[in-house]
Amino acid sequence: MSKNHVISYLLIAPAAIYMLLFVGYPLIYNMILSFQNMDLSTLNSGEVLFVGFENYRAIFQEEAFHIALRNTLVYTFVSILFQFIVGFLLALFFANKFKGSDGLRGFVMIAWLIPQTITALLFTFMLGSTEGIINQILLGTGLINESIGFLSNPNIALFSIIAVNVWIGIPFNMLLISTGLSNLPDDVYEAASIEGASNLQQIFYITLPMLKPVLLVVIMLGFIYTFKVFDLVFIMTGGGPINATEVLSTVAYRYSFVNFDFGLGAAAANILFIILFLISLVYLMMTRTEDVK
Amino acid sequence: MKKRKEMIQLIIGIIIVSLYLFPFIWMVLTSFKTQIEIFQTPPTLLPKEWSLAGYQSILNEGVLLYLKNSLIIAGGAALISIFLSVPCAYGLAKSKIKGKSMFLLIFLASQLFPATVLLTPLFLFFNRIGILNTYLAPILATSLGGIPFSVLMLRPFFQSIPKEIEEASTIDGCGSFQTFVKIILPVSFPSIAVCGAISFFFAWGDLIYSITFNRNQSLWPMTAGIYNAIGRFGIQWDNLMAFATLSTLPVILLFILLQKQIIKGLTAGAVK
Amino acid sequence: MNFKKVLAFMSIIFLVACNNETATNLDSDVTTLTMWHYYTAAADELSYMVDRYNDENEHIQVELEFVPFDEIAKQLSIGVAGDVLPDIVMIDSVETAAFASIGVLKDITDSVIASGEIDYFLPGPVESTQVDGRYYGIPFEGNALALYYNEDIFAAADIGSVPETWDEVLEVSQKILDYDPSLTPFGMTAVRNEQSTFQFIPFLYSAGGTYDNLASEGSIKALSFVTELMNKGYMRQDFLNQDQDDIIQLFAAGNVAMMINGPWAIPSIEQINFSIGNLPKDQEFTSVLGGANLAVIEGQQAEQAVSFLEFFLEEENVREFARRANLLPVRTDVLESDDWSNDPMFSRFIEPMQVAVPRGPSANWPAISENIQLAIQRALLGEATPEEALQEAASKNEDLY
Repeated sequence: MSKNHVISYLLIAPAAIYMLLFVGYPLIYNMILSFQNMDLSTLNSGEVLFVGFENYRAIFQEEAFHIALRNTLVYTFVSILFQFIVGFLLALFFANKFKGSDGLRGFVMIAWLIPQTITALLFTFMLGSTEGIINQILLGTGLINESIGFLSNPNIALFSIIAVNVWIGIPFNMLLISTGLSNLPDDVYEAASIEGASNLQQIFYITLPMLKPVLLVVIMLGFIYTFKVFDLVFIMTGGGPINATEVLSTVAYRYSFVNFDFGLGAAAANILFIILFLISLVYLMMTRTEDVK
Repeated sequence: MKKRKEMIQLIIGIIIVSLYLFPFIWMVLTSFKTQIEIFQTPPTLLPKEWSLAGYQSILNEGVLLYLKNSLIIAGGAALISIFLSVPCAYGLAKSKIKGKSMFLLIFLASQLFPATVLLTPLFLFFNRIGILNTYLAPILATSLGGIPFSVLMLRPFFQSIPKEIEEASTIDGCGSFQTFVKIILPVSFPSIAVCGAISFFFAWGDLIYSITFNRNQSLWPMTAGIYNAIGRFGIQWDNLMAFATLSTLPVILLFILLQKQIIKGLTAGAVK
Repeated sequence: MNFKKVLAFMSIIFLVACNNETATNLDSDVTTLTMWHYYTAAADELSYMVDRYNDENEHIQVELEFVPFDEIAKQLSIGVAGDVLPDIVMIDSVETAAFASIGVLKDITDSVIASGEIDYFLPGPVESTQVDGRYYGIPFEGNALALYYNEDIFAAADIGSVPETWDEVLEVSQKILDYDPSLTPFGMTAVRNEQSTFQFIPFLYSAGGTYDNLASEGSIKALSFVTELMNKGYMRQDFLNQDQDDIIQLFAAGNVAMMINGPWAIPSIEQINFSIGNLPKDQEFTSVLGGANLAVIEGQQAEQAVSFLEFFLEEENVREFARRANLLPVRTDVLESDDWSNDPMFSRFIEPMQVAVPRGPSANWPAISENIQLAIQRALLGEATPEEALQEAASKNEDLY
């Protein structure tokens, strides 16, 4: 191996080994556990056996699981979509560079900086019942006659949580797009203006493509992070009412730590993992083409 | 004319941001209300009497200790993230080895589990190496979130550094390590700041790792300290909101301090 | 440059962190026991009792470790997997059977019977510590549910007496709504966790149903009653996402006229002119038992831990702790003594405690309860009739009883 190669490996290895160690072990542990029938009673009798795909089969037969899968997909796609759109609009707005725009943009970040558990508690407080401030404002301004069950109405609850998630995610999207925007060379735009392209066309045909690398990372990581959401849902609704806001990670949690069926919980977590893994592969293929370019 | 346009934009901007941040403002205002006033209907906007009861209460409960712990844990996680991610991203950006994709896959794969799934195996692992009930346990666990993100963000940045700069310094007689330290690093400070800051922010919000790995409450960060306000018999909302406000201030301060660097750092990554 | 300073600062902190060592116990003559508890409000009083124990016992020292209430079961199960467990654990009465059945808790039957004290304890809490007739813990704290009501609202709505039967509840609720439609007459939680089962059990049993016969006539009658309360607007749909604590806040703000809750609510509602009565009955007055047990974890220091438990079997210690912490004692003799029977509020809980039924006990309680929660929510949302909802729950629970 050439000297350069050795140096390369030396640079890359520490981080890779670190991650492999701390995540590889849980990964294998979880994988093995998902094929066992470990729950409270088998822990006692010591009869923890391998049961093949039994856990997976059981999960796929559960209605709650399918609802959770659907909810997770809806939650993720809608969240990412709106975080991006609103973040993008805000970034465009602040790109006008008026006096005070930097400061204001900094303030917007607050929403993202608040620890998520706190945000969850805060919004549960605000969205609750008739006394919650949001309902009070809506009632007070006459926009509604009866208070809305943001978190107790099974048809709305998931979207309420999505709204909170969008609120949290907007600043980060905005920030990345902002910095990308500010760094784009002006002459490209000038040329486009001379050619007669409208502002909107410029955005679509120049800005977005040039931002593509950053956008890919942000959307990819955002997707992964959103897909495995736990705290927000668990704190705000616990998965209820009934199963209306159950997502994959809350289902896995419930199996493991509420019903103490660890094998089942591990299997649910693995399904989550596999789905995200496949998506990561897609991302890698996309960036590979980028590298080639 | 331009000034007027700017004024209007500023006013619109203030309105938008105020509306957007209303929940945060509400949180801070609530922290100054009494428990009774909090649940009044119709609710009051500004506190009728400004009460420091919530803050006094949590100061008595040792919120400063929790603050210190949060700083240690988040700071530690940020440091580990920087020391591991920067060389790694550089290596991935510059090297010609095969299997880069595999490394990227490892980093991505590490993100694919929710924290609750990692709890038990990490607990077992940390127990075996004897770091339960120390700061190291939550530091290591929370750094797992920051590293992959940092590597993925820094890599395109390092790729964008023109080769000419490196070649120039080699011609001048610097070894590659010297090149790295004297030329690359200074240029990359902003991007490194980004990764450190984001790793810091990720780790700041952790709750579950500290509670699981550290039975010793004197090691708990602020987020975990909230449990003192959530009694089994009722939530002390004034305490909770005071706690929430205090938990947020340090990260906001840090962001403001580093804002310029962070923006510079992100900028660089966007342009290939 | 700003950043360099920040980096240096963080490096120092990091070094500090790495050097942080936990204290080691050097005295080998003394056994140090760790005990998990989840008290926040009564933590100081618990500390006091433990300090007293430590003073009286040279060779055994007990250290308390706080674990949030929602986390105890989870941390125990992680601890079991990792073989890192405390010596003594405070465990919710409903979860004791589950952990006993996996062999984590020590069988302390012999010590308990030898102490001669256990007969003085309330039967319900005692039952919650048992599996197959063997003791796996001692009752430590007990509570039950009762009916709180707002005297001022009752007076204004011209309601003469507290409702005692289900029909009276319906009547009174309607009167309250007629008086002021913005009020919520009846506060009962239907949230997606153990609390809704907790609150439903008294109604279930009062009508003659049981947790292992959910499809019976009595069971269906109970769920139908609660559903009726919801459908007539006497309860809010929001209660599906609000737990007992949330409802306490609503009661304290004067927006809910009656509520089902436990003795812990009393300190939070002082500004309301309230009274407490028995839970309204269908056939018999009933209530449900909540509370905590203390258990010993199987292990090397189990013997010493048992002696710590014996400390809390003694009448004077039960009395002192309950009095200091403002909780209900689990010994009948203490409960019926002056300290509690003379307190206007606490005394109202004596009868509920005496008629309260435990939940289960069953090693599979979490799963059983979950199906009950789902049934309650389905019926209240109108997704199924009470009968359908309960039949579904019954069939899902069949293998678990």
